Amino acid sequence: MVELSEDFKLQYEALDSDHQKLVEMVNEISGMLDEGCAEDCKAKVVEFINFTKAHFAREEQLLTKSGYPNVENHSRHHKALDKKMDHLLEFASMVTVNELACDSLKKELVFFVMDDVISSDLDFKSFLENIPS
Amino acid sequence: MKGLHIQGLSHSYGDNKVLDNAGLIVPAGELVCMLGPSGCGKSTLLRLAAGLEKVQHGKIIIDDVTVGSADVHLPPEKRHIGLMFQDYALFPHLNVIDNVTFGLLDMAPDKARLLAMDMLTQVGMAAQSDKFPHMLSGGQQQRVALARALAPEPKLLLLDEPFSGLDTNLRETIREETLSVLKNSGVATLMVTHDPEEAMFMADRIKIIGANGHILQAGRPHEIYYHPTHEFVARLFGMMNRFEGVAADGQVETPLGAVATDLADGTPAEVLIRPEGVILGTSDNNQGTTVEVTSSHLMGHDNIVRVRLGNGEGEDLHVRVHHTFEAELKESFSCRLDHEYAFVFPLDAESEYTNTELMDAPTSEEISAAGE
Repeated sequence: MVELSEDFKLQYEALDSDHQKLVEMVNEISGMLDEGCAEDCKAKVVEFINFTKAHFAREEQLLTKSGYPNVENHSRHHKALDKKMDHLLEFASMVTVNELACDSLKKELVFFVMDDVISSDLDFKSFLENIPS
Repeated sequence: MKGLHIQGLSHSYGDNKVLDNAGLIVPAGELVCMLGPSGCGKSTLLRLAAGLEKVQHGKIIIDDVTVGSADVHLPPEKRHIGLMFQDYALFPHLNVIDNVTFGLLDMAPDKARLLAMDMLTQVGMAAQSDKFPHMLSGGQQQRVALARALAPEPKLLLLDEPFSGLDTNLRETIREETLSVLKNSGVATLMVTHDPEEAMFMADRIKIIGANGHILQAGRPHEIYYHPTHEFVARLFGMMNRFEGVAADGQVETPLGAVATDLADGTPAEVLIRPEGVILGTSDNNQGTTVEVTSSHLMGHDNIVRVRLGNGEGEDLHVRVHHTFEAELKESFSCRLDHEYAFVFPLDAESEYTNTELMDAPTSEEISAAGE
């Protein structure tokens, strides 16, 4: 079970609520896997990925509009996560027949959301302090 | 979040910046490995996490409690961490059981002894509990050090090149045992190493740190090896064959065939190909590029064959083949590419190298020496 503690928050409502939603989805998928509902898991992972991509677009739009100087680097970082999202889908396709894939999916979702997405967003936390939420 | 969270850590020694905005998470029960060349700042990061140095910029959080920042410095003994270094650092005047109970001073002696014996049983050292460190082999000392680090049930375990003092065979055994004990303990573990193989074996996630103290890529071992996003990361895992070219129509041409890329047309590029990505076949089927063997070196479970392109007049390539593959000097083969092992990077990318040893593929002489 992952929690979005204060240290992971940007204190910027729109983005924090997106992150909260991502964390909830990760917990939901993990719960489905623990309860043996692996068949329904792939659809949820697709939903998670779609939401993540929409979040990236919203975030990039906000950063561009606000004049964040490293927006290009951050967009590149988002782009680099495409491959990871493909891997999440691959794992999700295998969870019904492969226990290792099930474990890998749970692990990767946590690292993806907490490290690759949310932690890397903390880079612009101080920039957002001066932007109206 | 249970475990370790490092946020925006930067650190300098005088004008020398050794860490640049480094961040990572290590959830409870997972093992994250920082992999990078000597001097890249990975041990500094570990020392900062341990509280052996004060944080200059950034934050270190263990189980949701900030233990280090520019304003906060919780001393190491109050961070609930276990530490294990390559020299084991056992107390020479204490026997094995006393070494393990040393960190359990707050506990009733009988209880501490029971816990210590339990840990020693887990690492297979219960029968040596009354021996002194000098009576133990390196591997046994390492097991005791692991038991001592885990006995106080730390929230976080920090490992600094823990297996580098062991010889090759013992290292493989000990790291497998260590991994098993760590997984059973459920502790969050951060390990630093310069050994890519060790990182691949141990880690749930690898963080590659470049020579400038900046994290270049993070991912599963499979992802780091098969999908490196930076030339530095690709080269960390051994010798590479290299070609230069220009991106055009979504690919870069090499003598072994075109390699796909998403670089814009006209971008100067380099193509890096792992030795296992070059496939040799019989030269009479007219498929692929013809090469000629210039040397072959047994490396144990496989051979490294050095071949020359263009009927012996072009560039040299390294090819990894099964050890049963026997190649004669000057024998011709056809040669094709396994695209899974070929990577394209922009040629003008800022180089992360400070250590040229990482850049150059080994010479035949170096390969021979390694195989002997």
